[in-house]
Amino acid sequence: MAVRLVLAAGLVLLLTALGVTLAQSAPRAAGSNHVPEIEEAVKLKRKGGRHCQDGETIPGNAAALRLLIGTYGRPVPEMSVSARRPGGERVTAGERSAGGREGRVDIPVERVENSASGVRVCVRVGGPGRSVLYGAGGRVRLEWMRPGSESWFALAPTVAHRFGLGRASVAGSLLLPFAALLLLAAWAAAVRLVLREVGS
Amino acid sequence: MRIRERLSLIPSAAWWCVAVAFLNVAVWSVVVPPFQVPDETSHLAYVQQLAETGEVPNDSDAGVFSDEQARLIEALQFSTTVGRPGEGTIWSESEDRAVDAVEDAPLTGSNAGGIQSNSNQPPLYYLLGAGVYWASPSDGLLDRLVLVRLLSAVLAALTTLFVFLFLREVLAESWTWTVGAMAVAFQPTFGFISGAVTPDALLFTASAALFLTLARVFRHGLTLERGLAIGGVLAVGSLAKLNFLALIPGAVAGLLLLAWRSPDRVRLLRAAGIAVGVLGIAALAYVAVNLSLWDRSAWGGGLATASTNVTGGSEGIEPIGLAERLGYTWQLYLPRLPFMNDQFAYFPPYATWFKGGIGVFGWLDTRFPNWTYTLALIITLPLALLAVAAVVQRRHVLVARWPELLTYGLMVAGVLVSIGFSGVRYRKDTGFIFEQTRYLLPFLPLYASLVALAALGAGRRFGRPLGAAIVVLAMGHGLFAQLLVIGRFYA
Repeated sequence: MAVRLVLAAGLVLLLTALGVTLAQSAPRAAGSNHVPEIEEAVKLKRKGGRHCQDGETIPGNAAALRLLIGTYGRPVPEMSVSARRPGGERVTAGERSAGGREGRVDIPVERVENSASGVRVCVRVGGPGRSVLYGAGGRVRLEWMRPGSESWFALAPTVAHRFGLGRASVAGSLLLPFAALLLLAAWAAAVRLVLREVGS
Repeated sequence: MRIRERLSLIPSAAWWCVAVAFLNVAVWSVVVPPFQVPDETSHLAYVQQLAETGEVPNDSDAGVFSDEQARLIEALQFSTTVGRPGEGTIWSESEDRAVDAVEDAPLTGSNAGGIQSNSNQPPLYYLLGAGVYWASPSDGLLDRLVLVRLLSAVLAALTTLFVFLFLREVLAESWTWTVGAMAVAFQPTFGFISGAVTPDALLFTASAALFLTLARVFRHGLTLERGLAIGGVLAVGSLAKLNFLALIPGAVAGLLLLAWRSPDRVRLLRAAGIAVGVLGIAALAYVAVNLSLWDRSAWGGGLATASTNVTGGSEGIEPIGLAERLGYTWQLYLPRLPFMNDQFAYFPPYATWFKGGIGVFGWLDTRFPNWTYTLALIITLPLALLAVAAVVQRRHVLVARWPELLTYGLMVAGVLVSIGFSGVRYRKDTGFIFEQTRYLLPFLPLYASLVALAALGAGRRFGRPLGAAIVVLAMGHGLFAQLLVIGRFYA
């Protein structure tokens, strides 16, 4: 009886912790250009400095661009971003007003519905004084953020989609639910076994 | 007795534990993206080289990855993902199409063979992997990686079976066998490593089998058949990974101790001789294959590495004094003594071993938040005290079993010292840290015993409920570790 109670209480506690964890909301990334932030990639010395990068991919559902900027202690100046295809067609654009401390900043952009490749992304940093954008090899790290703040529950379909990419599996986005089912089977077997072997 | 009859003697609970371990490790093998387990890139390269050419990677002029694997690593953005916990794996359809394009391209898988970190390792796991590689119905490398990972999961299930059977030998209370084996089946570091392409999976299996066979001979006597079994296990372990060699002196000392204390000394020595003989035959076969087929040194370079670690240096290699090696090794596991030079800027028993046991994933780049390790310590300490209490309660039994305990102690010491000596050499040569918790996973049977003892330490009334609680805790631990990895790579 005691073992049954402990198992029940433990599983309830566990599922509660799981629910609380998965309900936690936070801004989520849509994707990045995989450039590491290991050095000062671009130094902007003049007022209104601008930096452009070609061949970028903007992931679907991107609603903000996150950058790491250094301003030598000054507040972050006004910033804007624009993204265009080679033909000049605008993919998205946005701006951020001045203010806040140097570090990671998000520039809100018009939401991108579908992924766009081969895009030229230009970042303009306004205001007086020098600033630096971080990345590697002269390329700035561009991290695209999804709109607003999402819980894991809300993000689950996206995670399931990503889970199926870059793999041998033909299951695609069903691979994550399949893994969850396998784990559930392991749990069911473990609980049954504990009831039988430890509880008797 | 026939194999089928022997298998029928195994309790059904053991098979349930096997099923649970396989399912859980299979989940790990799916959760972790390709190559995101330490050294999986080089282990898969070894498997592919062996499968495609019949050769081990030993060519100083060749590249370390085949065109197929190199392009795949590139398409999967491995170099920009590894070591950077803020960087997920590929998330876009266009990146996925790039991976598919590599898989569909007519790229060769047989033009590697360059020397890398695992080239001096013996080939048994890789041979098994090569068999799976060839048996794969698909010739895509990612498909083959999945199947070789599942081979590792099967080995993990086998390891759990041996752990269960070990507990059956050493503990009288049958319910504790399930508790200990379940703790292993859900152990996240074990699942994470065993869900990958790595010879560690076979190392853990062979180590668990060695503990089991020794426990059996200490209880039921050393017969010729059991000597043969121990010899087989020693051979498999030695041909799986060099780390296993550190267990052998302790195991052989145990057999000699057993023979020395027996009135039938000659018969036991003969059985022990069979064990050592089987190991010797396997070693000779390995040497012969190295010299004749693979055109490399007798021991494949493994013995030279081990020798350098043990002696502290050899020709052309900067020596390391014995005091430094001992000081380093001591401080890996215990607080520094006043006369020792400070070897670490952190406290390895906690920072390396404990935290690693709770969970450090990816290429050591994916960790729980710090408060999680503190919470884990708060939970672990009372359990450890209960295990100590159970040991104290059973001290009379344990004292009577001193030869067996001494054997296990020597095996543990062998591995701990080998980690220390290898670690100090590695740090001297590269400046990097060598130690990882997975190096302690050959002791899974002892870990399971401690877990079971903790439950027993709670006494007759609370032991079983605590055992059930430990299993739920292990399940939750495993689940949140998998969520951590999912969050790291896909969210």
